[in-house]
Amino acid sequence: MALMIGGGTLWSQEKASLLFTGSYVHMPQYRMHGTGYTLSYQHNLRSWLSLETGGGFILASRTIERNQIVNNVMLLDLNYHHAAYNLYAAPVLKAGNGKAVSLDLFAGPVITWQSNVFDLNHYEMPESPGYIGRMTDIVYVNRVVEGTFFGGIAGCRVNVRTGENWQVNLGVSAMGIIKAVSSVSASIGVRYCW
Amino acid sequence: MKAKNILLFLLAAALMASCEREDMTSPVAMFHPQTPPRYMFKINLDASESFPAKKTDWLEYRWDINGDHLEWETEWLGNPVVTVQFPFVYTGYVGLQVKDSNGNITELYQALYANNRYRILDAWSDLEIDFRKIDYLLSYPDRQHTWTWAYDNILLPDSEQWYNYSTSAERAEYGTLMPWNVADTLDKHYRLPSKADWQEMIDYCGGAALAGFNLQVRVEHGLQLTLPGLVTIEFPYNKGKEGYYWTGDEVDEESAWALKISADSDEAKFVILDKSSLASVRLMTELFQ
Repeated sequence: MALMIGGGTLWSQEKASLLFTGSYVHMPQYRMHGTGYTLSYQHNLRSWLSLETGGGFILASRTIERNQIVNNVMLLDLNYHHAAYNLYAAPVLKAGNGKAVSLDLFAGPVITWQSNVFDLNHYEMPESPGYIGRMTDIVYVNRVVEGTFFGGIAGCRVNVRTGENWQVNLGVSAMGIIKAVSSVSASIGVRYCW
Repeated sequence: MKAKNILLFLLAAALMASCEREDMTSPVAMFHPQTPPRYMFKINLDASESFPAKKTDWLEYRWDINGDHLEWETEWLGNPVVTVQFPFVYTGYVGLQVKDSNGNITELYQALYANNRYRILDAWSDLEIDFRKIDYLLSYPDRQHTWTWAYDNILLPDSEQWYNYSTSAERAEYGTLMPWNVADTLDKHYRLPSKADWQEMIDYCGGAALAGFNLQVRVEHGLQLTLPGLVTIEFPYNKGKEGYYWTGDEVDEESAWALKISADSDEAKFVILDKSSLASVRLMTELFQ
């Protein structure tokens, strides 16, 4: 107990931390799934307040299985692909700072570069008379959403101290992006504090 | 920032991220010419096989007829069938866009090949005044078909039995207008086309609705039928407006079938004429190998 109390006092004096998380990402708009990785830096201003900035990337995809023939046309699978690099900054409200288990709540702006490719259609044409020629019998239509977009991120994470300078954490967050792909994610990470 | 505000922001972000959206799909675009394309012939391009992602949806169509990818030659049309003059001598791309009610578009370009195997030669016949012939060389899996048609309206020397125009230019263009009994017995090797022969030519020219135009169109591989009019009493009427071409098929002892084309219609149709009427003549023959 004395160790915990003494350690708590010591830990509450930490100035900053570096956090690395891996996450499972879901994009409800397009029902894509994928993984993301984030590296962030947190600077403690008060025992209950920090500033956090970080960056990461996300890769996600989705396959809509079709493989059916409609009106003599073979409809092929549709694929969605998403890749994004994100930068964010957020104030963090901390509860239980300096204790073995603590809670972070954060929210702030995000700037992201995204590349999204959505198959709109993908089908194989039926055989045709000899006076019709085609470069390919496969017709492929997609929509590309690519560029820099803005939005916001908000989330919370539970930190569990595992050593003098180390914590592991579990978190959830939501990232809303205007005119591009938004996501929700569940993450697990490690933090080094000093 | 207060915890309450953060929670509100978190909730808003989660809501924004979870807005459900339908899967985006565009229509399936397909088209084909209703008849084999031939240079400068009118053909119907038919995109009615195209269908939207949802059965209840509807489509609009627009066409890049010359395949230049620069302009759409039509507006957005509700009718999937468009009639065009085929612009390519041998082959070229034609583009189609189909759009559903949500604005999703599918684009399809297809190459269309024109079959132009023909030759134009002088015909050997029993007639005093020669005419040219056009041989259409048609290939089938098991045979070759040489389909030979007179390339000029038959012109006979002047006689009271038939009608010749007064100027040489008109004679060259219109040929002789003659009664059916004369037309039916002109030559041993070339015959008056039957109704079925003409129908085959109509089919070759894109069907009855367009053959009237395609039989007249001034391209080398077309029959280039002219509009000499018809003589029923003494003088021709509707010269330059209508053309009547005898078929070899009689209706009865008094009348026979003729093909009628006109300047103001794309249609070709069969009409019944009194055998004593004076109409135009194209002869034909064919060879199978």
